[in-house]
Amino acid sequence: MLNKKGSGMLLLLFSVGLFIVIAALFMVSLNPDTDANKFSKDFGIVQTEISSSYYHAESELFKSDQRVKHSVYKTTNEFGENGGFSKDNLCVKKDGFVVIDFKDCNPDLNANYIELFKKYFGKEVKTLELSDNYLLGELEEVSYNKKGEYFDIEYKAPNKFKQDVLIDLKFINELRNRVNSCLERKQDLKECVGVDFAEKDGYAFFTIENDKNGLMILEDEVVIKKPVFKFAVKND
Amino acid sequence: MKKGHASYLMLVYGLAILVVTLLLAALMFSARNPFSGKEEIRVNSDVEVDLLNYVRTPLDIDGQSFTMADLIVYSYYKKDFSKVEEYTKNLLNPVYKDMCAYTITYFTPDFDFHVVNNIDDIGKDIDTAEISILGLNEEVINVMVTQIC
Repeated sequence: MLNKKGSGMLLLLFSVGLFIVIAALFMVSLNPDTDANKFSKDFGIVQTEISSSYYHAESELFKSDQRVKHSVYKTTNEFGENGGFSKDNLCVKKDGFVVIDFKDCNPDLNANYIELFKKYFGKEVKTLELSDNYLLGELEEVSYNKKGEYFDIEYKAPNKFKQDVLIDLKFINELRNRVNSCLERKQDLKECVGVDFAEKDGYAFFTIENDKNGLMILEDEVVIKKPVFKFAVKND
Repeated sequence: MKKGHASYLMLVYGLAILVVTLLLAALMFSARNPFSGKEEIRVNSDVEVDLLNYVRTPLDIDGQSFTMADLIVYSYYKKDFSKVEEYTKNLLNPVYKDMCAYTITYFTPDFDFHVVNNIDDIGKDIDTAEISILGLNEEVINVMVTQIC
């Protein structure tokens, strides 16, 4: 057991020792360049940057989706107005309708649609296909990088899309084959094809309207128009 | 100096140094250490997610399915944001009620349009987020939300 003097001395030594240790730690804590302080400072920033990276990547995906949708609007409009071709096609036209002759002017609807989409989209597409009236594709993945002194965030997200083309390509393909078959067999188109059409000057004019959503198109001003697929065939 | 007196002084000094040391330790380890140089970090993730959801919200306009972003693009070309204002208020006012004030600004270098909810600013913490919407010819229409809760 320590006597009264010994306990006083022990307390003083203990206090001075503790003071030296705590004072040294306190001096370290004042220095913002120490690893501990940098880590402590970056710790919250990392969590914020993770959330921010997600937002930036999602914003890019959103923009990419919009670009796809607008390109599909333009493609479907031009494709439908020109009987499955682009507007600069060399087919015969009658009253603004492209005349399909099933020889020189006989569009491969799926292939033409994809080519026209690529023209409007204007960016590299990894994969692109039409399936059940949807355009499926994959683009370069979206990535967002953020570097800090003590962190390096790399956020990557796959960029795939599935966009309704807003016209029934399957039905139009079937109709075209039916019309061709009827004409080859020299049958009366009205009874044979089962679809209403207009007749004028020995031509049959088909306008396949769609009850799906409208296309937002910029002409003289912005318009919402129903997608249609128009073509004519010689019927004399 | 008497032996008892010296021992008493050591005890007093020891206690005084201990108290100072503990105060220093308390200051160093306190959550609000004034010397640590920590900066306040504002986390905008809530308002950013709200903004993403806002522009992606599906709308039925005259039987046509569009998103809020489509409506904004359409309004931008029409130079008429009345439908955007109507749909935005119908969408957000029931959610925000009287808890938060918001302002949504649609702007390009050429124009600036605001939709504001119907309550006054009620607090100090302002959160903002901004997103770009593409027009039909790749024009950029910026949408910024300011939220005060």
